[in-house]
Parts: sequence; C-alpha cells; structure tokens
Amino acid sequence: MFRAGDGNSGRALKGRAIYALCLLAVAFSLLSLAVILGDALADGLPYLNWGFITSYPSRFPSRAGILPALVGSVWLVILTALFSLPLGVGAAVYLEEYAPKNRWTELIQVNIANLAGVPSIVYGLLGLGLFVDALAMGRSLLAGALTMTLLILPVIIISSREALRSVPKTYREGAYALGATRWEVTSQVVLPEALPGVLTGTIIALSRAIGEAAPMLAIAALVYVSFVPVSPLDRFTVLPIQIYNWVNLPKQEFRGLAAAGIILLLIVLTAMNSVAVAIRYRYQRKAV
Amino acid sequence: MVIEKVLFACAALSVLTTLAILGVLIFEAFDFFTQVSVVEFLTDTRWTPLFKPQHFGILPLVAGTLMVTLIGVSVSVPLGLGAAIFLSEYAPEGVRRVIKPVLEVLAGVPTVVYGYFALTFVTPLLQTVFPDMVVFNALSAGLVMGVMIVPMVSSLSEDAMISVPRSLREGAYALGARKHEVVLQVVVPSALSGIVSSIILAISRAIGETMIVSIAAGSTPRLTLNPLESIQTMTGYITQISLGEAPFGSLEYTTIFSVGLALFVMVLIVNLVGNYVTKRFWRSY
Amino acid sequence: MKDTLRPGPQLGLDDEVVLGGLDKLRHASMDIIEFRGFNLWYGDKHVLKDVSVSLKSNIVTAIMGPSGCGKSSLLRSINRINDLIPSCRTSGVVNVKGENIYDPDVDVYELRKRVGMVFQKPNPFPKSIYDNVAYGPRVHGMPEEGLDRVVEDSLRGAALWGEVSDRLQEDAFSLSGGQQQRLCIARALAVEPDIILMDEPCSALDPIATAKIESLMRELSEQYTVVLVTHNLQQAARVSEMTAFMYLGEVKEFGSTRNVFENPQSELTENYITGKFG
Repeated sequence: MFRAGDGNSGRALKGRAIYALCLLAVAFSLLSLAVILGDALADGLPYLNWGFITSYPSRFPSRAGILPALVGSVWLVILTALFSLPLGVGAAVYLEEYAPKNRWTELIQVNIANLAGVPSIVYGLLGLGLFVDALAMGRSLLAGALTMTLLILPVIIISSREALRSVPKTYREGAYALGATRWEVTSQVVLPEALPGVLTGTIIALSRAIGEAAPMLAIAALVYVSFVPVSPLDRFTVLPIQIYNWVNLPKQEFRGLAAAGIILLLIVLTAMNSVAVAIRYRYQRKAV
Repeated sequence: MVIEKVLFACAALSVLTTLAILGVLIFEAFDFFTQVSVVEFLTDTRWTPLFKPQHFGILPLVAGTLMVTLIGVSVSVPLGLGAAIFLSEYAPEGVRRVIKPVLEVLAGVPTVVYGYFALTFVTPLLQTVFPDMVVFNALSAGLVMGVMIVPMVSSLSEDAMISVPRSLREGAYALGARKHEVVLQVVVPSALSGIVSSIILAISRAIGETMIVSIAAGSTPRLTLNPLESIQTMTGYITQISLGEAPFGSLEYTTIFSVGLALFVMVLIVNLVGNYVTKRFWRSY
Repeated sequence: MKDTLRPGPQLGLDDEVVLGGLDKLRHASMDIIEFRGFNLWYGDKHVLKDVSVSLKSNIVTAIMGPSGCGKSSLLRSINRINDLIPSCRTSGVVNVKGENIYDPDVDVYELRKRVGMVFQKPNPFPKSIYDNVAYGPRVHGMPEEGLDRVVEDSLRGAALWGEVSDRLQEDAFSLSGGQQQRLCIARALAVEPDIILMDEPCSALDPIATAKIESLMRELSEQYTVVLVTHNLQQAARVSEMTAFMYLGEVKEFGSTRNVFENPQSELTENYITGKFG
C-alpha cells in the first residue's frame, strides 16, 4: 500500500533532475573561477620574473615592467589607509556609541547604505571634479587616495560597526560602573576589544581598493607612466590601470604582460586577505 | 564633548559625500546642458560627441548598458539561485562550509581580470560558435559579468532561504511532498523578498560595472539588439574619455559628467524600485 | 447516557470531564498503528525505548507525558517526518494498516499521503487559502478540475468553510490563529489520509479556538483515526477514547482513557495525573 504509484516515478525523476541542475550551477561557477585563474596563470607565468617587477613600461614588450604601477599601488594603499581608517572608525564609533536615535542618525545610516551601492566610476568623477579640479590637487596620488577613501569608507564603517557591536555590553557596563566617561570607555575598553574586527574589515576593504581601476582611471588617466612617484603630489598609476593598458595594446606579448600583472595583483590581494583572515582567527573571541 | 563633535563629523562625512557627488555631477553636467538640450540628450538615437556631425543622444549608451546587464543577469540569476538552492537545501554542512567561501572568491577577483578573461578567452571561444562575431561585443562581456555577479545572488538568496522556518518545510513534507517540491513550491516563494533584492543588487552592480565592458564590449555607441556586435556602455564611454584627458571645461569633458549623472540616476531608480518591490514581497515569520 | 469521570482530589481535575463516545471503543475495529519493539535515537540520545503499543482505528488516542518524554518523537515516527533529522536512527517495527513503514521498500511520500499531520504552531504556506488546501492534492497529481470540490470538502471537514468560502483567494495569513490551525487541518484532510496526527495542536491557541478544535477532533474520529499529543491532561481526558502515558522514552501506561484516569495501573501515572510532577 505504501509502494510508489506510477505517477510517482515521474515526480522522483523530476526531483533528481532539479538536484542535478542545482549541482551543475555550483559546479559551473566553481569551474569558471578555476578557468579564469588558470587562464591568467598560464598566460602570465612565462612573463613573471624579477625583471618584470623592477622595470619600467616600454614600447618593447621584452623590456617592459610594472614597477611604477606597483609603487603607485603601494603608495595608494598606504595613503588611503591613513585617511580612511580614522575617518571610518570615527564614524563607526559615533554611530555605535554616541549617536542618539533620531532622524539625523537615521539619515546618516541610510546615506552610508546608499553610498555603498554607488558605482565606483561615479566616485572617480567625484574625485575628478572635486579634488583634481576644484581643489586643484591635480591628477596626484593625493587626489587618488582621497577619492579611494571616500569609495571604501562606507564598507569600513559598516564592518567596524559590526566589530564594535560584537563587544559584549557587559564590558561597557563594567567600565561605566567604575565612573569612566564615555570616551574613556570607548577608547580604553571597547576599541581595543573591537580592534581585530576593525582591522580585518579595513584590510579587506583596502584589498578591494587595490583592485579598483575605474575610479583611478578617471583621476590618474595617464596611459604611459615611465617614472616612479616620490611624493603624494606626483602623478601616478596603479596595477589595474597598467594591466588595462597592456590588454588594450595590439601586440600579443603585451597580453602576456597583462596576465603577469594580473598574477602580481592577485598575489598582493591574496596576501592582504590572508593577513586579514589570520587576524580574525588569531583574535577570534571564544564563544561566550 | 569635543571628541563627540569630531566623531560626529566623521559620520556626517557620508552625507557630505552624497551631496558632493550630486553637486559635482550636476554642476559639471549643467555646463553640458547649456549647450545640449535635455530633450536631445534623452531622445536622440546617436551618440557621437567626438565626431562631426555631433550627436548627443544617450540612448545608444543606455541600450549598451542594458544589453550587457540583461545578459549578465540571465547568467547570474539561474547560476546564483541554483547554487543558493544547492547550498541551503541539498548540501551537507561540511560541503557547504567549504564551497560557500570559495564561491565568494568570485566576488573578490578584480574586474580587470574578468575583462582580460572576456577578451582573451571567452571571445575567441565564442567566435568558434558564432563566426561573424567581432572581437569587441556585448555577449562576451555580459557572460563574464554574469559569472562575476553570481556570489551576490547566491549569497543573499541563500540567506533568505535559510531563514524560512523549518515548520513551513515540515508542513509541506507532512503532506507527502518531495524535496524539490518543498523547495520550489514553498521555500523559494517564502524567501522571495530576499531573492528579489539580491537580483536587484546584481542589476545595479552590473549597470555600474566598468572594466569588463571597457575591455571587452567595445567603444562603438550603437543602438542595437544584436549582442554579437560591438557596443559601448555608459561606463565604457566615461572610461574612454577619462583616459584621453579631455581638457577641463571642454564639451568633451562635460559629457562624461552628463553620462555620469544619467548613470547615477539609473542606479538610483533601480535601487528605489528594488526597495519598493522588496517591501511588497516581505513576510515576517 | 454520558460517561463522566467523578472529580476527586486524587485525580487533580477541577470540573467534571465528559468522556465522549466511550461506546465507540467497544466497537473499535482494527489495530491500525502498531509499534513493536520500536527504538529511536537522535545521535546518541536514546529517545524512544522499546515501544510496543497498538492504536485502534476510528478513535482519538491521546499521548501524554511530561516534557522530554518522547511523545512528539513517537508521533513523528508514524509519518516518518523524523527522517528529516539527519542524526535520527530507528530500530524495530511500526506497522500501519499491517505494513511495516520502516521497510526499505516503502515510499515515504505515499505514506505521508495516508498519514497526515497538524503541527503545534499553525504553519500555513504563504499562499492563498485555496492554494494552501489545494497544495497536497496538486503535488500528488490531481487535475485542476477536481480541486474546487476537494478544497470545499476539506474546508467543510475542518469546520472552516462557512468562515472563508467568500474569500478563498485571500492570503492565509489574514486568518486568525485558530482559523489558521483549522486551515492546516483542512490542508491535511485534502489528501484523504486514513490517520491524522496532531502534535499539541491547541497549545498556541486561545480557549475558544481550542474548544472548536477539540470538538473538531471528535468529529474527525468518525471518519479518520486521530492520534493526539498533548501536555494538557484535561484535554486528553475530554477528547480521547484511549490514552497512553509516556515517561522518559517508554510507554508506561496505555488503556482506555477512563481506566487510565480513574484507575491508573502505575504509581507514576497516578502521580502525573494528580499533578505531583510534569
């Protein structure tokens, strides 16, 4: 009586088909990732050598290197971190520890959520019009770093808030009970506790910044950079832009150079993300 | 007290940023619109600001953006939903814990890499299937963009499905439904709000994407329905002109801001529609 | 003539409780559900220990006991909805209508068509009232033309038709808690089961809704076999013909409700009934 009827084999078959389709979706996505990375590796490894990292771009592929872009990216990340960390953490601290629940706070929060969704090229236009033009910083590293700061600020604020929120209320209450002021509680109790989470979030945000080409294209614009920036007011280029330039050149070897640049970029990215994950695991609070 | 003011300033910076974005876009675009009428901008079917005769109709760029977005969404929604269903309903916990972060890596790969891949791998591959496809085309860019957006759809949809209460699933099983029937007829409809908002997010991300289309889709503004042709998106145009370092204040320069403004408005509209639609579908359990 | 339980301090019952249809018991037919040496584990936890008990058809059987005694697990073994829990293991036999439902050849989906379940908290689907009731028949392949009839019959059977017949397309969540639960009962009836399992169906409802569902249970037992898990002693006494008392995974007492309440065999049962624990 509880044996399957004829209609049921159709249903069972449909069930298996749907399972297969979903499995296929996952498999295809993972496969795509593998192919994308593998393709870049295969194309770029032959060109990746010490000479590549230390040379300047050239019209001759055999002599071309990525040094200015590498230095530019390093400069950019450092400057961006200098600006974005205090601003982002400051905003997060305000919203989590100080802000009253009123319409202004609501407005700020809605704003931050919206800004996270604005296309990065629009930030580039903002930087172009505001920093490069209006504030007359020119197409400098400074303008680029400020633009990048604005771009990743929403992400840093959101992740820092998470980190602050995960500090147990009891920590704060204990300090208040001892007569500490709000700033003392925040700076001496909450922030140190939340620091690993804040750092992790910031490093991840910065690692995204390193891969962003669009806003920097609008600011830096240069196609062919043959010098290394030595001050924040210098013109610059970054890894993604150099890669972009090479991809668009007709000669086949430049494709290989682009791929080598990609590998370098991915290495830097992976290194940064690993540091972030390591921090997260090292300081992960044991479950209360 | 001072400290609180400083911290408030940090937070208020976000509001200033939004105002600055609007300010810069409108200010520079204003320059543009004193020379080109809004009507022409919105209705002319040709975009040729760099050639004579100059046309300033944004429709070709919008069409390019929409076409690539459509292709991308057609790829990412089935893949993303399929992955989400697999991870939340079929995969054992151990498998899920491994696959989910790996899938997230797709979101972390810089878009230049995707652009490179689209141009050097996907396009030649597709050309064996479509011999009359040109090197720069909407299809390659759209397909690759779709893969890039998959984690966005899969992650949020999966979260939405997991929060559907067990009691609803049990109720369906108790009626003799099979797993796929429970998933497709009860779980997915219950999670619809979250799924829809993930798709909206994917759409707005696709609209704003720059690198993939700049590298692989072309720089030929063209009003066409054929994805095998070369087109240009709004973001692609902005990139192209930015690289050329148009002199500040020139008409060319202002075009990137007028297109930028249009782009900003488009994303805003998508997000607003998304918010509205999500609220309509929302159910709390 | 109505049978009544004489209230007394030793029984812990406040009012006279009317036992329904005791005469049915005398005419009850077969053993429709039979547990034989049945064990169940969730991982290492031994939740049901060597249960051997036979439930009769066309009556209401109540399963009661303190929290954690395994009554819900026992109920959920009858439609094998426990299978959804990965760590669940069983041994022993559960015969439904003479067939062992734990036999590997059994199609569990067909089983669940014949053994319906109503849950503790009403769990209507986010669909219209109509689509909720029609869900089961549709899934089992019933063509669209027959659905209207089935939906109406089921809603009538759940004493809900009068209240919703003019708004079948409305969302199920627009109903009150008690109505939602009756909708869930209608939904279970729509696939034409033989047995209806009810897992504390009234615990989330107010007294008026509870009373409606209790009287519904009595009606349903005319046509179906109802197995009820409840933590409410009075409800068990009001509604059932036979009662099982469970404690720590074992069925400690099982018999006609009258006997179990008036003349419990084990001291444990008596202590539970008089409120000494539980």
